[in-house]
Amino acid sequence: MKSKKSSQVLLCLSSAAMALLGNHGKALGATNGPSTVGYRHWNYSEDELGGDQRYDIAVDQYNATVNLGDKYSLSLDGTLEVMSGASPWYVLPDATGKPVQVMSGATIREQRRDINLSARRLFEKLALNVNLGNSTEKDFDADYFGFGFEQESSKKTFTYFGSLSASSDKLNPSQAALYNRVLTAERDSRNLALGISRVINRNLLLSTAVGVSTLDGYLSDPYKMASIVDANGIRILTADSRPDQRQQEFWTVKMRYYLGSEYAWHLDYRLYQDNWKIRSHTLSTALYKTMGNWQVTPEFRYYNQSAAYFYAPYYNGTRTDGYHSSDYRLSPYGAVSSRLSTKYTFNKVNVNLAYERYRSDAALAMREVKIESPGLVSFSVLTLGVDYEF
Amino acid sequence: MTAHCLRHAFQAMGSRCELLLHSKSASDGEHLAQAAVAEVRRLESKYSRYRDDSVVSAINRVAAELDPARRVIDLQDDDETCLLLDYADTAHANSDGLFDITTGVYRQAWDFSSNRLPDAERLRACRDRVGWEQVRWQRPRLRFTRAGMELDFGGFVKEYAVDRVVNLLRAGGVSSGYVDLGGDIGVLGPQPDGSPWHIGVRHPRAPQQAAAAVDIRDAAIASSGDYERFMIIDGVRYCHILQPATGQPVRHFAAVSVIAPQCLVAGTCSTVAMLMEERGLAWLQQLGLPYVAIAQDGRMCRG
Repeated sequence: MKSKKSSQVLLCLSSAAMALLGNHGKALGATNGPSTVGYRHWNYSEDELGGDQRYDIAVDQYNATVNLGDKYSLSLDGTLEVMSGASPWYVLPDATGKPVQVMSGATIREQRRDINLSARRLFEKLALNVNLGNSTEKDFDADYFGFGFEQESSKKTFTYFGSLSASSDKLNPSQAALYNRVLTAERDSRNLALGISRVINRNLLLSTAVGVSTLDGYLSDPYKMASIVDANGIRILTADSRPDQRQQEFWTVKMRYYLGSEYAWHLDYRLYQDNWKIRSHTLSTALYKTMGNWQVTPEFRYYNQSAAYFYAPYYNGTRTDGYHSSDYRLSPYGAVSSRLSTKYTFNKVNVNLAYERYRSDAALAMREVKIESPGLVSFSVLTLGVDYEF
Repeated sequence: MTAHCLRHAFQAMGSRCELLLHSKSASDGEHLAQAAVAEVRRLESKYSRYRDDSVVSAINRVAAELDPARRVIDLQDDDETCLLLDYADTAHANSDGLFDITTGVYRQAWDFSSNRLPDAERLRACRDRVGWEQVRWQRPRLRFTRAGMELDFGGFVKEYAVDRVVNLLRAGGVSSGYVDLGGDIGVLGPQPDGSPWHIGVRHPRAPQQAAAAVDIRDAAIASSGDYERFMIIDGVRYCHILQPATGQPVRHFAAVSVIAPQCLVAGTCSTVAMLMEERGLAWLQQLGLPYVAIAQDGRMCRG
């Protein structure tokens, strides 16, 4: 045997063995995985904008998944977020017409608590799960529920999956009277997604999904304003105002390529569009490399979106439909994100450490952006997590 | 949390087998041991050459057909057998044709209980019906280009069974234990005290003694040796591991043990190393898997 080839031999044999032993994801017909408890801490930090500190968010996330016999499992997730910093408020043009971001004056300090309970039932080739949750902030309360399924075909070549979820949100913006914000508001959302994945061969898995979401109610941001010029020719600030209905659609394609037991390559694409005329493309790739007890994963993501039809950094008049928003999230831009994560496993403990750097910029957009939103965000996220299996 | 230790010995696949598992409760352990034995028995009957109702017998009946048009079998409804054939195909392609599941035909020439060398004419006749390259495997269709070929899953189904049982026990929550099917061993985790499992490698000339010991966790060890079936004629040892191209027994190594994440891979590599004869040691070193190789003259190499 030629020595050049021998390095590939082990890779080929391991891949074939893994295809045979079903390592391409946990077979549905199998019993539950181990029960786990886990903790994650996230430190999300937005870059300063014009000398103003933007959001810093510290997230503590707790999870417990307990098996009840072979076929049932229950999961409880709790999240506590503490946010502080200033956020983009409105945009004004300077003397040359260049947009200037004005940040909220007060440093916000908010807490969000989220609790989610989910139950899973495994059948021979079918898995069903339901979840119920609540998210609460001082000025915000949301209840949500979801239902999902995964069904394997008789030869396990295909897996069909889908989910249905809905949420009902209530807003009570703080300092509403002082800033002329809406006093109370409600919005509802419903989401449906359906997908199929197929094992092409022992190395390759392809998956695609489509989904729709409908949002109704108050979809504006009560903490943002837009700068317009009124009928008298005077530049004034007006409340952020968006349509009260939003129809969203997405399509994803995912590829998983397994090279022996040591490498897995993920390549994903997502197309999104909505009736606010935002269309986005996301391309992401990750390489999972396992070395003994270690797993190292570099990831890279590119994102590009077009603007909402009513978005402008500032307005030199008023729109006849009354919609005005200078929210940078509705502006045209591109973004790149790089992430490096490591996982170390010993006995029954997994330790995860990850760092992500995200940068958004109009220069990264696929099409030329005439006026860049001055509020575009760049941030870093540091994550530390520990899981214990029992 | 692993409070209960259960040891269960049984006979299957022509070998002495043993399970040792640490489980949350005694009833969990017994339930899992029963499921493990049932899985081994399922694979034994599905791939046994000695059972008329086995998949292997069905395949070999088709291979025996004289009419070429009838020497085709469709395995569309049997994913497991398709994947095993995929594996055998990969192993053949990656071993210069040395790993070959068609060599069972040579049994018609070699009788290790007779103490007689095979008839040269008979061996030549067998040689024409050996060679995976003469089998057309296009999933899910298997076609034999020559009548009277045979497939034998015996060279890897025991190792596959070890991996299956390890997966079954792991899914059942066993974090520490081992599965020993006639010397092919898969271990789960370290021992409950955190130390690795200390596994003895059989001495090829004194099979009840250990020639070496290896420390492993969450891995498998498989061995091939010239000690299982053999005869000695005029001081020369003739063992059951036969070169697919010639039908002659291997002569260089007495035994090779390989450690790998899957027992299936460990078993394939140990068999291929035996078949590589003098080149086997260099091949094992390039492969990068830990091994213990004992030559006919008793020299031991570890890597």
